[in-house]
This record gives sequence, structure tokens and C-alpha cells, in this order.
Amino acid sequence: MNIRPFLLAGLAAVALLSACHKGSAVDPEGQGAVRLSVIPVWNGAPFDRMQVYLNAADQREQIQLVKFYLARMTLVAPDVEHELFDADLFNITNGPETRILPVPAGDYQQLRFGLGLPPDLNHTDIATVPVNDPLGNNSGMYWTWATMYRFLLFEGRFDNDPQATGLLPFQFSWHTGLDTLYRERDLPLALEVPAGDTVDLPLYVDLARFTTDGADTLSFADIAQFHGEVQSLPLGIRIADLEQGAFCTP
Amino acid sequence: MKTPKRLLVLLPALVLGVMACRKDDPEPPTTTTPPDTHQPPPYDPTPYALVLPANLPPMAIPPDNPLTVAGVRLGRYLFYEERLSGNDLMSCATCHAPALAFTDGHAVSTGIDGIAGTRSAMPLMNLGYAHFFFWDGRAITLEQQILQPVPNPVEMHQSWPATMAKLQADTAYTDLFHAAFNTTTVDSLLVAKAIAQFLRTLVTGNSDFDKAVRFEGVMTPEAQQGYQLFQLEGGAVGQIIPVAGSTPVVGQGGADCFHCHSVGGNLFTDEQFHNNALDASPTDPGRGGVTGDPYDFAKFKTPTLRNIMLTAPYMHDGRFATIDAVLDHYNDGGHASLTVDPFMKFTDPEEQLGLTPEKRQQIKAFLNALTDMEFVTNPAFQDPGPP
Repeated sequence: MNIRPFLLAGLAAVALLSACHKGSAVDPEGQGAVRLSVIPVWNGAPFDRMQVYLNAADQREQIQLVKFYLARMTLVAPDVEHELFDADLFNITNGPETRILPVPAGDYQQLRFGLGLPPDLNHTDIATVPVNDPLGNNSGMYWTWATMYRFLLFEGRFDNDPQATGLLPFQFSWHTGLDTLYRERDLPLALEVPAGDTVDLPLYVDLARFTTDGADTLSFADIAQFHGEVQSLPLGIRIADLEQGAFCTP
Repeated sequence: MKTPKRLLVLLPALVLGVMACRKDDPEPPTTTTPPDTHQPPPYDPTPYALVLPANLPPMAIPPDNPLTVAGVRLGRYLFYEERLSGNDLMSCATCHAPALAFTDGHAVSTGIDGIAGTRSAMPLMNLGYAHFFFWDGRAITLEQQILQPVPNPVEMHQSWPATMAKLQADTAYTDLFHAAFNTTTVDSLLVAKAIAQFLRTLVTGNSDFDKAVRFEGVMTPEAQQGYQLFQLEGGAVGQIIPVAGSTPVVGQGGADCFHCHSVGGNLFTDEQFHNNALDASPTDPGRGGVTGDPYDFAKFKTPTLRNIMLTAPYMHDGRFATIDAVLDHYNDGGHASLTVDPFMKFTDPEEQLGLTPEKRQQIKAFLNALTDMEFVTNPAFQDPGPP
């Protein structure tokens, strides 16, 4: 039996398969898009800003503002990375915020981003930025005393009595910022972006995890106000670490 | 024969008819009006070169309403035009006078029918940077904002059709509209666009503070001390400031101004909405009246502090006649309520911001350094007279 045709066919198949290996997962010729949705949840369930939740510190909590920068949002394939945006501002107080972003077609296995602004952006001269830009004055995110940006505004009301009813008597206001509190996150992903198509890329933010990761729990009774004060920085670091852990992909 | 008799009757009529057409008559009778020989000036889209002080951010001009020389000129006439009101006595400038940094000096403004409004006239400056207009932010473009006071029954109280008809009857205006927008048809949207163009030229950035920032001058030592206080958290240095339901924070000896009156971009506003503890039981819904969100109740847009010493009385309802009364309010801490801003940390009657007489003087010196007399006296912003 002449096996030469089979050998040739086999070699051709190997060559074809090689062309499809993971190192070539991104097709630079084909353009697709992702629909990035940053979605607030509370312990995995849809978040409702009008609802009073019981947090891990056994406090009644109602969230009134969740607004933050995400930076260097990057899709990672085995041999290539594609940055979706440099920095953008998300306000998810009233529900998900979505961006449709072009991306080369391919198979992406990781989502990498920063919570806050990396130092090179954090030290932007705000007077040079158009006011309606995410980094402009109208973002309401600039810390004039630090001449840097706030990374995250997390505000609301709370009650130390978990059994109480009615209006929540106290306010909390956690504002992170300063280069020290910039955090990066890598999340696993299984995202195939076909050429000419737009695929969903949900990014969940579990607001219940802003105060706990299971091991570490922060109580508003310990710190209701954080605005970058040096004496409170150890608490600020815990806040930033917890916020970092609150992000997840499906 | 009947014909001569008829001729005798018709002849005098014919003679009369001919006499009626003699040359010294003013105009021959005609059923059509003479052709209008008036030619409007040519459309002139020459861009208006808006020069911004170096320490202010770039200004984003809406692509559908670029600044032109002719547009700004028309907008200036319209801003001072009293025929925009129902009794031809009130213009935009009635409540927004240049000498008072485009305010009116009253707690609340009164319309043509003598009815007082509920809020104070906002100062007009650096509006090209704003993204909300009115104290409650109910307009999100300058053009939207401008459309509202004319038909408002407690302000200028005149429908837009009536306003357009008045302007349409004035050739001077149809000429200005043609030069600015290539049409002689007066339209409310074009009125708003023209006024918006003029308002975007009202840029202030030549106060002593600005000159110091640009190294063109210096502030007095007292004003510089005031600037320091402006940028620091309140309370005496080391003062333990209770936070309701939580651990206390520590005072820094400042005046706590910067949180809302952000120096970022040198605009002295964060363009956000806050409840600055004016009332324990607020009645004006403020931003909440726009969003319907109970947690926006009694929040109002942060006004700029530029030219603040010219814009008394203060607050959205003009309740404070003087800047000293404003400092009293912040020093005492105001009143707690459901939506009071977390930065109002001294609402507890036992606590105070800690402004000593010396600090108050320094803060006032700094606020004086935000006055830009070149702005309020700029000839390009004054009443140009009739068109």
C-alpha cells in the first residue's frame, strides 16, 4: 500500500493545526468587538440601590454612590495583549455601565486591568484636560489637596443596629486614591471574539465584598470616612484590597 | 340714441379716473407690494478666536454650535434685548449684570409680573466648562438652559412664538441672523445658539490667583495663607472630630472648602450636587426634583467661587447676605439631614470647623484674590445698545 498520500495529508493536517495553535489565537486581520458591561451585584444577586442590605459586619447598609476608574483594561491571549482603553470612569450606582470596544478577533484567556489610575495617569495636570473627559474636572474625581485623582467613591448610609428599621442614621464615605492604593487585577477568561461580531464581556463588581473577603471584614463603625488621610492609611490599604477582590468574571 | 347719453355719463367718470392717476399722486393704486430691495449682509462664518488663560482647561465647543464672530455678536445683542420679555422691559442682563459677575444682587430674582422666584440668579462665567445648568442641573447644555427663562411665567413670561415675531419684525435682527446663521428667519433655537455663543466667551481667568498660578504676579501673604486653609481639612490641628456611628477623624486646621470648590482645573467647582447642611428639614427638592431620587433631595450644584465677592447674596436661595454669614454657616456646621454631604462634618452643635477671626480674614483675602475686575469690566461683555 502506498502510504505517501496519507503521509502528505497528515503533514498538511499538522500544518493546518499548527496555524491554529494558541500562539496565533488573535487574528490581527479580523476585527471584532466586545461589549464590556461593568455590573454591580450584592453577593451575586442583582444590586438595587434602594435596598437596605445587611453587611458582613452585621450593619444595615444602603449604597448611594459607586464610581471608580478602571485603567489599562487589557484582553490577554497567549502571545498577544490588546488594551481596550487607557482609563475610563464608571458610575454603577444605578446599574451596569457598558462600553462597546473594538478588538482583534481571537481567543482571549485573561482580563487585566487596574482599579484606579496608574501613577503616570494619576499625576496628570488636570488643567490640561478637557473638563468632560473622564480625567477632566467635571468627573468630580480630583483630589485638589493631593493634586491627584480619587480612584473610587463608595458612599452611602448605615446603621450599627441590624434589627432597626427605617432610615439609616449614619453616613459612610470611602474615597481611595494616592499611588499606594492603585491595584491591578488579572481575571481568568474564556472569550472568543469572532471577526465581524460583538461579544459580551461582563465584569461583575460584588459590592458586598467591598467590606469583606471572608477573612478580613471592615466595619463602618471602624471607619466611616476615609479620604486618604495618612493616619488612616492602613485602613485605606484594607479598603483598596477589598475593593480589588470584589471584581470577577463569570 | 342712447349712446351719447351713456357717454355723457361715462365721460366725467373717465376724466376723474385719469385725474386720479396724475403724476403728483403719491403712488399709483396697485394690488401688489413693491419688491423688498433690502439685502441682508452676507453670511459670515468667520470663527471667533476664543483666547483662554493658560491655567484654564481646554474648552469643548459643541460641534453643532461653533463660535463665530457674527454669532457671538448676535448673542450679545440678544442677551441685552428687552423684547425677549413679555413687557419689553426685561433682558437676560436684568438678572445677570456684568458688574455683579452676572448676578443681580437679590436673594431671588423677580420676573416681569412682580412674582419672585425661589432661587438666586446664578453667576455667568466659564460656562463653557459646565455640564449641568441651573442650581438643580435640569439643563445639560447651555442652549437648553437659555430656552427656559423666556417662557417661564415667573421670569420673562413671553412665549417663544411671540418673541420670535418681535425679533422677526426688526430688520436689524434679521440682518444679524443672516450674518450668523445664513437665514433671515428668526428661530428660538438659533436665539439660544447665539446667546450660548456669547456666554461661552464670558471667560474669567485673570484674578490675582490666576496671575500667581501663571507666575505673572503674587497674592498677598494673607491670601496665600487663606489658600492654604482652603486646601486643608477642617477642625483644629489634632482635634478629634466625632463621626456619627463611627470612629472620629482628626482635624487639620483648615477650612474644608476644597472638597466641593475643587481647585482642579482652576475652576473652583466640582460640578457635582451637594447638600451643604442649610436646613434640618429642607423644602426645596433641588437635584431630587430633577432625578426623583430621594437621596438627591436638597442637593444643589456647587457654584464656582470665582468673583464670589461680587455675587452676594449667597446660596441657592440667597439666604446669606454677606460672605461673613456664609463663613458663619460653615464654621457652625449647619444642620444634619438625610442627604447632608459627608464633608459637612460639623453638624453636631457641639462641634465647630474652628475658623478663628484670623483664619476668616485670611480666607476672605483669598476669596478676594479670585475677583477678576478685567472680566466684569470687559467692554466686549457690556450692553452694546440697540442692534
